[in-house]
Amino acid sequence: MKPFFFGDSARPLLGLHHPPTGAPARRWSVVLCNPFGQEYLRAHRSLRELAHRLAQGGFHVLRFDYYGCGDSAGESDEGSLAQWQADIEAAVDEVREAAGTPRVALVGLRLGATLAALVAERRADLDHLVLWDPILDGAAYLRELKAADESWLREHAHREVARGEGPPAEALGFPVAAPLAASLGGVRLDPGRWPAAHVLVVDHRAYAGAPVWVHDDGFERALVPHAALEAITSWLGTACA
Amino acid sequence: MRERALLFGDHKSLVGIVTEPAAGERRADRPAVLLLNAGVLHRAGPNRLYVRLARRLAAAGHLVLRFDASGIGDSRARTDGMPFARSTVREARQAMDLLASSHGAGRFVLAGLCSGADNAVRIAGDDARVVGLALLEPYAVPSPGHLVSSYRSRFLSPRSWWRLLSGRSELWSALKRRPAEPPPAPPAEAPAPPADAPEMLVPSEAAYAEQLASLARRNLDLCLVYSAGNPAHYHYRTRFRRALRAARGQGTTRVEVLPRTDHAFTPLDTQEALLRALCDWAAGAGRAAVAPGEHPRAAAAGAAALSGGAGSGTAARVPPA
Repeated sequence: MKPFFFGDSARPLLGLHHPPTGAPARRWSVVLCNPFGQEYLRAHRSLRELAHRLAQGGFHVLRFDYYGCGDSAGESDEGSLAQWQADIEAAVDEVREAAGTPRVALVGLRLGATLAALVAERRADLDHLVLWDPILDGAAYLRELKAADESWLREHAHREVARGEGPPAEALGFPVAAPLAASLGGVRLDPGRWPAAHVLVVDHRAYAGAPVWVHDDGFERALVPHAALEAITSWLGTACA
Repeated sequence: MRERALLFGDHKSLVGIVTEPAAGERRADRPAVLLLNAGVLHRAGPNRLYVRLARRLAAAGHLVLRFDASGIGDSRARTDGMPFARSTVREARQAMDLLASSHGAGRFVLAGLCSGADNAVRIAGDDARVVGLALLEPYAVPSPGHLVSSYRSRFLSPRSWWRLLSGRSELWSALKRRPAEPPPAPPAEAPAPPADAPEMLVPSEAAYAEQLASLARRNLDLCLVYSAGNPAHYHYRTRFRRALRAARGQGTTRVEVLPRTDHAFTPLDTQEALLRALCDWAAGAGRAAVAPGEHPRAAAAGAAALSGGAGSGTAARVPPA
C-alpha cells in the first residue's frame, strides 16, 4: 500500500493505492468512496480491510479523502457534493492511469455510496457499483445528523443545544456548511432505478453476524463487519472478471 | 505549507504525513511536533483535529508529522510480536529519526489525545530529544483499569456512534420491498480480541505522577488539557501538581480544563479553543529543555535570534546538561 497526493497541486487529495497482492491481477480497479464526517472516521478500519481483501483478489484499489476531509487539502467546511463528485472522478482517472486498468468499479459507503451513484449517473463508463448502506434521502440524513449531534452534546458535553429549525451547522464534530446542507437536503435516490447496469446494494441489517459497518468489541479492539466485506469482495470478484 | 505522504519504520509500512512550513517560514526556535494516534482513530485524529492542528502549527513555523503506529489506521500490524508498549516507543523514535535526517530536527514536542497522551509520556521517558508534551485527556482514573476503559471507550469506540447514526430514518422500507441482489451471506465469526488487555498498561496514580515529575526534572514543558467531564483533572490538582512542583524543573506546566465538552472535544467551538491553546503553548515550548548534542547557549542564541530575544532570559537559567 502506498500513500500519495494527487490531483490539482494547489488542492491535493490524499490517495492510498493498494496494488494487487493476489494472483491473477485483474484489468479492473476499484475506487472506494468514503462516508462523511464521524461516519468516515468510524468506518476507516472497515474500508482499509475491504481494500486489503480486494487487493488479495487481484484488484488495484484506490482509497482517497475528499477535499476538506481526512488528510486531503481544504478546511473541513469547504466540501460540497459537487466537489466530492469531482473528486471521485479525479480518483477514477488517477487509478485508471496509475494502475493501467481500463475498467473501474466504485464502492461507496453511506454518503460515499450516494456520491458514487450520482457520479455513475453521468458516466457511462462506470457501470459497476456497490452501494453499502447508501443515503437515499438527504433531508432525512440531515435530520438524523442533527438529532445525533444534539443527543451527543446533551449526554456527553452537558449542553442543552437549541439549534432551532433547519439543517445543523455542525454534526458530531464536523461542520455542515450551509451550501453542503442545501445540496444534501435535495438528494433523493430512487432504489428502484439505480444508475448503473451492475449494482450490489448492501444493507447492514441483512448480516446477522456483523450488523454494522463499524463494529468494535471494546477499547482498542476495533473489528470489522466480515460478512458484509465478504459479500462485496465476492460480488466484485464475479462481476469484474 | 506543504504536505507529503510517506512510509517509514522497520518495514517501511508506517504511514505518515509531514506538514512543512512554507519555504523560509520554518522557525528554528520552534520544536518539531509529532501527533500520536488517539485510541484506534487514524492519524487525521478525532474530528480531523490532528490535520487542523498540524496545519496551524506549520503556519506558525513548526515542522509536524502525524502518523499511524503499527496496527492503527493505515499502518500494517507488526509481525514480530513486539508488545504495544515497546513498539510505540520504537516507532515514535523512528519518526523522530526521520525528521532529523530529512529536516535536521533535533527537538520534539509530542502531542496526543487519550492513549496518544499516555504514549507520549512513555516515549518522552525514553528519548532525550523530547522537550515538551501536550497531553490531551491523559489517564482518567489511574487505578482500576476497567474504569479507564469504560470512560474512554464510550468516546473513541465505533459502536457508541453507531447507536446514534443507525439510518433508521431513511428509506430502507423501500429497499425492503425490492430485495436487490444477492441473499445475505452467512454470518462470519468475529476474530478473538487480542489477549493483552490495554488496561494492563495503566500505571498507578503515584507512578504516573512520578513519570511526569521525572520529565519535569528534565525541564520539559507540559501542557495538560482536560475536558471538564473528565475526572482526571482532579488528579492533577491533588497529586500531580505537588509532584511537579517538587521536581523543580525549569520548564513550565500549563493546565487547561475546557468546559462543556467531551473526551474527543467534539463541539466545534471547543475544537477551536483547543487548537488555539495548543498553538499558543507550542510556540514557547521546549525553551528550557536541552536536547542531546545541543549546547544550551548555542540553542538559546539561535532561539533568541529568531524570536527577537524572547528566549534568552529563559535560556540563561538552563543548567549545564
